[in-house]
Amino acid sequence: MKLSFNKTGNKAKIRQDYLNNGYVKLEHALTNETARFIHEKISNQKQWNLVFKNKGLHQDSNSADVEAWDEENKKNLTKLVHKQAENAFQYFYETIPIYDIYYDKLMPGHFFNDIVKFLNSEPTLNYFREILDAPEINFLDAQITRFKAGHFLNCHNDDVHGKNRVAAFVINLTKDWSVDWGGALHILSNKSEIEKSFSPTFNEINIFKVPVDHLVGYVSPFATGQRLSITGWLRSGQNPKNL
Amino acid sequence: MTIKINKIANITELKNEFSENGIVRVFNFLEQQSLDTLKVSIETKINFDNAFYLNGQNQEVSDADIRALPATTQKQLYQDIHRMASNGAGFLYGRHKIDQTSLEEVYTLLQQLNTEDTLKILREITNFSDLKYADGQVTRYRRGDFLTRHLDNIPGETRRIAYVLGFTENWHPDWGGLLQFFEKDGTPMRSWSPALNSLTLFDVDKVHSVTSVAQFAAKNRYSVTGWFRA
Repeated sequence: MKLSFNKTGNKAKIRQDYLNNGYVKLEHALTNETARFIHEKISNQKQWNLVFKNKGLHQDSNSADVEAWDEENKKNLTKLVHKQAENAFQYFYETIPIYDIYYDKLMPGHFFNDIVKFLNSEPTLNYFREILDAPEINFLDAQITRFKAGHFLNCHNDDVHGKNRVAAFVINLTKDWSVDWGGALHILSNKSEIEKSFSPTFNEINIFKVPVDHLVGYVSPFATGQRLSITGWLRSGQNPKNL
Repeated sequence: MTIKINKIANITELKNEFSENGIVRVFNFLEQQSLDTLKVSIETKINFDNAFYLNGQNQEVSDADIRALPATTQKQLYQDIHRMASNGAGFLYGRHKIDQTSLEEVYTLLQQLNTEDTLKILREITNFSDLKYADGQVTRYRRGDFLTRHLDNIPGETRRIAYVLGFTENWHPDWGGLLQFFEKDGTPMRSWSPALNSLTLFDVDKVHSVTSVAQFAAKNRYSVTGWFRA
């Protein structure tokens, strides 16, 4: 199956919105077939990394393993994560690191590789260069993310020295989400007020300039769906995994 | 006890914003000493009832009565409330209806909202010339509390403008508890993080919600809310 973008939106308007606001939304971003295909593959994935910080260090756990723990241990993990969310940067959600999987050749032949190849292809990069007025974009990295009840990604600005991130993107691949479940992408103003909120949707891409403070709102404990997306950064400079 | 509202200087600006969006925030609403007094009273002296929606009706149960329930019954109660909420119906938060029996400073605040001076300014900002009086309640959102999307425009009632006066200092948007407004189709319009001493006014036709307060929120979210009515 050939993955492709729709590219039907008014490019001049998209660019103007992005330059004026620092963020923009692309509706019907992928072709219907592409969005459906990727969604179906992703929603059937069994293996995810559960990520959070402990004592300032990033942690990756096997989500299925954690799911099999007894209630007491699960509760203790949640407690640890929450305790360290009170006064430091914290997050709690699931990922599949498809950029690493592709470039480190961790899962040859898997469709994850096709997504990375598609996103990093010249036509895709050219499209982003054009609509964002950012010819310096040279490659992108990406991960698949899944947020369920109780998950969150607290406020941060994506500005990591040496990563050359031009803009961040979120390809929304969430179906049947109720906005009451939270999990919205909130972009903050420089006065720490919420400037713009995007609820999870299907086949829309949110793009925003780096750095800017943003967060993924706490997903309500009563949410029954899963917030699926492919997210990452459009970067300038050399792709360190493709030298 | 005196509770004083600051003079509102930028009425034209607020009026324009309200006419454009149907929502507006008045910052620095209460005079400092009044704010300090009320903030302490609300945080420490009020007994809240827990309001929630269950079995097709709004219910209110005191903190003490909930604590007195067996652990399994409590768990079941929250599960039932959450099941409704996952389908988009319901709420869970602490409330205290303001009336003559409330703490003096709290009742005085409600009276201050009902003076002809205040009502006159509110009519001017909102362009609702028929505003007659305001009712009020103190609300408390703890970890896990929420209010799903709804309209305040209940048929048969004369609610015109909803208000939220914030009493929480240094809230972080990571903690949830956001007052979120939506288009009719559910697209987010704007989200406001609780701000101390800000009076939010919005048309009762605006779809809104209060997002779930995160389990790691460092404090409770307090406000005085109600409606200006015809």
